[in-house]
Amino acid sequence: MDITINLADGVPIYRQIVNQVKYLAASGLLRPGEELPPIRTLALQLKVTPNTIVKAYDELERSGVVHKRQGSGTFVSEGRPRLAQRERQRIIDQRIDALLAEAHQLNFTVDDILRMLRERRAVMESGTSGELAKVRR
Amino acid sequence: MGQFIVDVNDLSRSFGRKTALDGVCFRAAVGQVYGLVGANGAGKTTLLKHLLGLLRAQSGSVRVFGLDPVRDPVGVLSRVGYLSEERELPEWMRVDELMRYTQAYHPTWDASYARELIEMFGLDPSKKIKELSKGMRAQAGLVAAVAHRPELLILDEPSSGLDAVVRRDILDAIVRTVADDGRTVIFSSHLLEEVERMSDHVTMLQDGRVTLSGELDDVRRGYHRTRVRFVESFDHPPVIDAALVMEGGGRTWSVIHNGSLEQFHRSVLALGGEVVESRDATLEEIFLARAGRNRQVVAA
Amino acid sequence: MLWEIWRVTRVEAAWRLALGIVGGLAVLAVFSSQREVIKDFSAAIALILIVLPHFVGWLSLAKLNSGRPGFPLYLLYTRPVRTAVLVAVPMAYLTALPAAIYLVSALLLRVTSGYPFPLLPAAAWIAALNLVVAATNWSARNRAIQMLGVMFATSAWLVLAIHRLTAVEIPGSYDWPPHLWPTLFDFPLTDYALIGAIGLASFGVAVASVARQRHGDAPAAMPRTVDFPGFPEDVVNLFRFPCPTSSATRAQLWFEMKSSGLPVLTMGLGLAISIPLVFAITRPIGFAHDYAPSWAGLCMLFVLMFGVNAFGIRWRQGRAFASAFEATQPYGTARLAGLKVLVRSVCVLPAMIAVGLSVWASLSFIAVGKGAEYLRSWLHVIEDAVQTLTDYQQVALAVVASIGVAVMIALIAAIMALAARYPRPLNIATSLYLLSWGLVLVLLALAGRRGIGLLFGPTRFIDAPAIVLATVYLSWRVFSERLLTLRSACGAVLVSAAFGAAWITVLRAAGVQLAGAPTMDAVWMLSPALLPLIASFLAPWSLSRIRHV
Repeated sequence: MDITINLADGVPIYRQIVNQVKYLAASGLLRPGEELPPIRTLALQLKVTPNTIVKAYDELERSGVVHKRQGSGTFVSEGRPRLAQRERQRIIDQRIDALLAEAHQLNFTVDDILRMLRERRAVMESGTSGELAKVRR
Repeated sequence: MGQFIVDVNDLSRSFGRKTALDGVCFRAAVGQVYGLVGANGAGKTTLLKHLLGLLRAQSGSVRVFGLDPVRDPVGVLSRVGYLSEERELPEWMRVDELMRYTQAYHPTWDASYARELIEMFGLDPSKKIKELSKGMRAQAGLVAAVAHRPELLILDEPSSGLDAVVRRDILDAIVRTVADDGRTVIFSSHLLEEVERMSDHVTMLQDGRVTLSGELDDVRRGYHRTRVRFVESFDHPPVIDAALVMEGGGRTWSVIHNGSLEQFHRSVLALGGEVVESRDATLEEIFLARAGRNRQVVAA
Repeated sequence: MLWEIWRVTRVEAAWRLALGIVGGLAVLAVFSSQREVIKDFSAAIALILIVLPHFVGWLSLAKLNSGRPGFPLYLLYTRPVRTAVLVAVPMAYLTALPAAIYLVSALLLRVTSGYPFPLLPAAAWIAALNLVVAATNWSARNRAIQMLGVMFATSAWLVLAIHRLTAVEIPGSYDWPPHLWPTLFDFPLTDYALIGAIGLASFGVAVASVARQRHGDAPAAMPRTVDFPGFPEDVVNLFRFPCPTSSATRAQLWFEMKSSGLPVLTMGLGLAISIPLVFAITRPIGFAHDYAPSWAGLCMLFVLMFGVNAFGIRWRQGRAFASAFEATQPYGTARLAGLKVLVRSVCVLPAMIAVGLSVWASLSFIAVGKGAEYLRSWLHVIEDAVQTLTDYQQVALAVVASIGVAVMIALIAAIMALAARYPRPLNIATSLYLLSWGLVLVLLALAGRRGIGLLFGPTRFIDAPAIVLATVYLSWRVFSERLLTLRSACGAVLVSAAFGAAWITVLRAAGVQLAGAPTMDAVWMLSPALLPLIASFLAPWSLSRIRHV
């Protein structure tokens, strides 16, 4: 699994892992039913404490991106997440608010944002790994 | 004993007139990684030596596995693996003799694991310790410390003076210790990046006192690095509440502060500025902000 | 630089001054009301006593580089000072200080006793010895050369001194009575020239080798890592046998045997073999053969010194510490102390026996000459005394000797540990002890007591109570800290009882009657029987103090 950790970011490590796994799942680089690396292996690979991986996997399970099967590991979930509509709305609203604030700061209009949304969507669907860097935050 | 395998309570220790530790409280639970950070002479090694019984508590108490390491050295040390900063190994011993010697002391020694590690590190078992380089000594000491699968692994500045290869081996050993059977690791380090990656909990010591202690993410969430832009230009850093360190010049300043974000926003607004972006501070930034010489403000 | 050396050596200098003066005064006092001849003899002993402290190299300087050969002040290499100056200052200091100490002691004795203690000539001679020893210590390439060089220099110095002093033979008295001292010690200018030449030569050699060490050419450069105490690597690595993994005790036994036990045994056997060789080789050479017994004496001294530092204290830059490696192994402190002392004793004892036997054999069969005859007569005296003992008494003597050696090793190890951990309190305690000893001696002398019996006074009033008090205090400390299990304590008591029984037997054989003696005397006579108990409490306690600082 292609994940990198950037310490200078200020984002907690487990959150970086969560975000990247979510991206990989959403963009199809991780297929539903595929197994995530065991905690020990990923910890050794990323050089982080295993408890961080545990935290990340727990969070991913909570948001429905992955599910744990007793004794055999962690697997990417099929299809839709299991969260309630309101919960999902709240998460997205948070992201939108942050995006709008930032856009205002940088002098983009809402139309610019909408246009860029579609452009980025197209890039994600084609799954170019070079664009992964922009999603690591 | 509770669920803490290490319980240090109000520990104080001085050497002559110098106070090394002052009322230090430290607890370690099973299966977690604890990072100790602090400047040179802050008391990290002193604290770790108390856990091993190399130092007696002058006031306060130290309990490891519920036992006093001074009263019961066998009960404590048989379940602890230790890598010291000076890597004091007898010069005349060969690597294989060192392994056999340590094996005799620890019934839980895993010979195949030891062999695997020695092969992986590329150590020559017939070489004497004095013929080994500094990095290989650290590796030999590490094998002796982890091969008996200790319940508690104590590492004092494990990466000091070592190259990247050996450092990676040590980090791997930490990961393996925790991942397998959830044992505990306590390590002290200068390399804050390492501590940030490898710790679940971080404790910062300054002049013998604990200035910060808690889960790494919680600690970091309490500190922010915010970029601020003001309407007017400042020659000297403007005074903002809860700001620990300020860098920058003119209109744009980078501030490291603790406390709540909203309050900070309000203070900035009051001074005629606005927040450009904000994120959690890294451990290094927190450390420098708290331990750096200019505590309040710093001009870049 | 001078200030630094002063700081390092000042305590030792004070001790040398004090010991010399106190020893000299004590001897003079003890024999002050005897016949003329005895008084003269005591003056000679006093002279030896104030010269003796300067025989030994400076311990505090040697601690700076763990006693290894090489310049001890190697931390000063990076100062912008020329090597010649770097060497000259300590050498001048080492010349001036012992000479000054000697002068002060000699003057004091001269004034109080009226005997013409030599001043300048002896001081110059001492200065020369110190120069040569310092040069040897600093220039030697390895331990063996260092030890041989120092031994050679010291024996050569001794030989020349004795040769000069016994030049005049006086019938009916020993060879150098005090009234002859002014003439004996009136060195001609050639002697002073010789001393000066020796001094310059040593200085030259020292500067040359320190320069090489400074620039990294010599192996005796800055010690890179923590040094292992004592025994040379080559001897440690002579015996290779695998470490047992079945139990911790066996592994620790292996460690002790390899690192100290077997080296001691080997070196002792080596010395034992060398003694008859030296005697045999020097047989055709007249004057050298006369000094072969001093080689034997030195060997015995060395073997005794092997029993020192059983706990493995080492010095780095003048500070002492014990090995953290051993301290972090899961092994009980008391058991560790016991094991270390046991292994060391088990190896020192055979070494001592071997050297003793070889001295006896050499003197009896190989040595020839007047000196040898004299020593042989002493040997016969000892042999006859031993023959008169019954079997039980011989066994008792053997028991006292062997347990005594173990007790001595344990006590020395414990004192070194305490000196490492509490240097200042130990200094104070030792000075108080010696002071009270001296005080009792003086009081008894003033009250009219004389002779050897004078020396028994302080042992009775100070040593015996000290032993009893120490036993009580240590037992309390050891039990309150739970250092010894009940089983080991019982074992210690048993060993002490066995020692006590053997000691009583030996006393009986020496003709001492205990039954009718007053209680104070009985306690005093029996107090040495408590020594094994003290040793078995003190050793774990002191090891615990350095293991858990």
